[in-house]
Amino acid sequence: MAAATAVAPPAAELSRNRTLIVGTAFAAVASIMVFVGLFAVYISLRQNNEFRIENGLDGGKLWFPEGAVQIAPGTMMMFTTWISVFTISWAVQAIRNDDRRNAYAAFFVTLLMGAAVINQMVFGVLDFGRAVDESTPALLLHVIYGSYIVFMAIAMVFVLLMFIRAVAGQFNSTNADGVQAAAIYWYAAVIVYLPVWYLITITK
Amino acid sequence: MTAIDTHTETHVDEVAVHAPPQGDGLYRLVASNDHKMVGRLWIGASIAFLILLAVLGVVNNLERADTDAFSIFSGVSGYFQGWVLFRTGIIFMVVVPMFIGIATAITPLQVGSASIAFPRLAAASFWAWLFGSIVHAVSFAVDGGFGFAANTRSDSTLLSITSFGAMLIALLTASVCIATTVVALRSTGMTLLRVPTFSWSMLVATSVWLFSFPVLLAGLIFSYVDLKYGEVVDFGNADLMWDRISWAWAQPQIYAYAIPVLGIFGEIIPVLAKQRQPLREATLSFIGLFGLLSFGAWAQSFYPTIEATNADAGQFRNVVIYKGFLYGAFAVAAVLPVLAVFGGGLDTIRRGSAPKPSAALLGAVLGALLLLTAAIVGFIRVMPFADVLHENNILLSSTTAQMGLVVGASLTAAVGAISYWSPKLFGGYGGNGAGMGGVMAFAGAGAILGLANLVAAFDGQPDIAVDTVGDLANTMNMLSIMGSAMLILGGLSILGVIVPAATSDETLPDDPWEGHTLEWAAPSPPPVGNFVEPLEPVLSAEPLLDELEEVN
Repeated sequence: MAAATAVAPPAAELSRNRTLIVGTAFAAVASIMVFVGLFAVYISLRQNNEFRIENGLDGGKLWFPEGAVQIAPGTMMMFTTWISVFTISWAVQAIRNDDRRNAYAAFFVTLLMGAAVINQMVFGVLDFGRAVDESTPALLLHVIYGSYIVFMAIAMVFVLLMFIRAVAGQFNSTNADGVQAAAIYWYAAVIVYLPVWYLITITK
Repeated sequence: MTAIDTHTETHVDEVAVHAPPQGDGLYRLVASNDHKMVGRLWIGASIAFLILLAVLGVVNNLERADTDAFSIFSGVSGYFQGWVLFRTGIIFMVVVPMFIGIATAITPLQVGSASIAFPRLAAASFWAWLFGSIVHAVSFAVDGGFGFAANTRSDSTLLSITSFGAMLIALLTASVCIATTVVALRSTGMTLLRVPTFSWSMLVATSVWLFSFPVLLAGLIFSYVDLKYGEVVDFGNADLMWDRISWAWAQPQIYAYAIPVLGIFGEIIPVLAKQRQPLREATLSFIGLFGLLSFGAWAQSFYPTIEATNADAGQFRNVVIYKGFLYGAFAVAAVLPVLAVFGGGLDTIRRGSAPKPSAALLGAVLGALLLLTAAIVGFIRVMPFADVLHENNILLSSTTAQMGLVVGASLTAAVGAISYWSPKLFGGYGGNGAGMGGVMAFAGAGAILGLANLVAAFDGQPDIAVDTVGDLANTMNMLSIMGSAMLILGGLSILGVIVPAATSDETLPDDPWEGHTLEWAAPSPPPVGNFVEPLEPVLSAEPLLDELEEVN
């Protein structure tokens, strides 16, 4: 193919490379699908347990003992994750406006929220107080909470890296792709917590 | 501007393109993140695994032909371990990596990009997958694997789970690189509908993998935790571990690994027939539909629905899914897109000039034909008469047949693709004779393994045959030995394609096939950065054919 002799110069806003955003979206979908798989197993086994209880079959017993899963910590985690949606969006907007001071503050608060979620989740596991091998629901809870801690930790590392790069001056109003990508992954982590909260904290 | 909008310039200056690392050969091999080199590494490693696994396949089938004696493995447990390793290996160490390798090398060229997206991640994916694959194979040798609890070591089984998980994660990250390249690094003017057919098929395939492999990973996480901490819910029970993940080798998920076969067919046929592909958008749509119908994470037999639960405590196998309307509808519908793409290809040949026989042509046609056969077998499996013909459940006893056809289709098409793109992959013409031999060997292997196992299934032989079976099934098992041996021949034949291409000193033209798409605008072999000069804006799906027609 002949080389271009006259390629029109691109418009400034169209020349940005959105590779990281697209790649992160794919990675976020894959991460969400891990949890879809975990939730499917959880729902399937819980339904099976309920059926056994209703029909007096072997193996059916109370899913979580009374008081084993407290509503307050799980709901606090839900609120914390949703607050972090606003803080990470704050970071994106601040970078887009070249407002570095606000961006740094937003990154810091977002990471703080992430640490708070992990802290509350560890508390939830300890408060649950049942060993992994005690029962089916105990194993499921440990796996889902543990996987979520890993997911949130990955999202935090992503945000931290973008925070460091922002401090190094790599992002500005014309290139905020890295921060946007971190935000997409963070949103995925927040969205995944919603069914965790509903399945384990609310409907148990 | 949305995330999938095209760009107004090529990305020669935007993508992280790095000069080849300095140092000796091994260092350059390990340190390179040039997508052609990484693609070659994927292809080479998957061929090596193919030959080893094909030997295992021969041994497995020899053992199956005489399960009374168990003269090769120590017993049914050892036989089962070999049977499982062949399955995990042939899909996740051979078929998927082979397509990832071809796509890693070719897709950036096809979309007019200077590099693959995230080149370092692409290279890291390969090394992580290679390490995971080797550890996975070794774990079976030290009594791991997904086998009988009484005969496996739990720490080795944990190693099998971990290494399989590592392989999946590596394949997922490689998929992210390929899908992102197609979506975000397209050349100026190349809309999604102008993406070359092979790259489109890889976008569909990697998307399906990104949706389904994580579900498999979730099952492995449960198995790992349960096995390590107490085996309370049977996830960690080695007796049931294979059942839990077997959906990934069954219909409809088994089709997901062969989606690129349609892309290779749709790419090669119009070029060799020297004919613009008619109804190109329809072809892309049918490939997308086939991808949709091959998503199989929902069709897991292990997890019971309420209807499937019965008084037989511990009875987990959920035949309700396999007997359900949706499962049947997926199986029936899957025939349509394959038939449409295949028919479209034949119509292209009819309209164009008769192509000369070559490994590329044979590989593309026979690969698609085998995939069509696999889809038809899937159709047969869900038909009511299938269960009437024999006393066992055909749905549960013929996955080996479909896997054989899909593996045969994939490897046949892969030989065609490697032969076709050898100037870009290896810088020389591939050995055509060896290529045709490889195509025939893989196509023969796929046909024999598929049809022999289907007949054996109708004769009452379950997928995991550990008992004496009927005479007809025995005959089919003997045929299967031949089919597995042909996989070895095919693996050796690919080397006959690659070695002449890689060692050739001949100076090749950029476009020896009179190709239609942008990869043929790059030198053969392409340099780092792929294109010597900036590309003109793409105005159609076949920019080089447009140019050729203008000249003529």
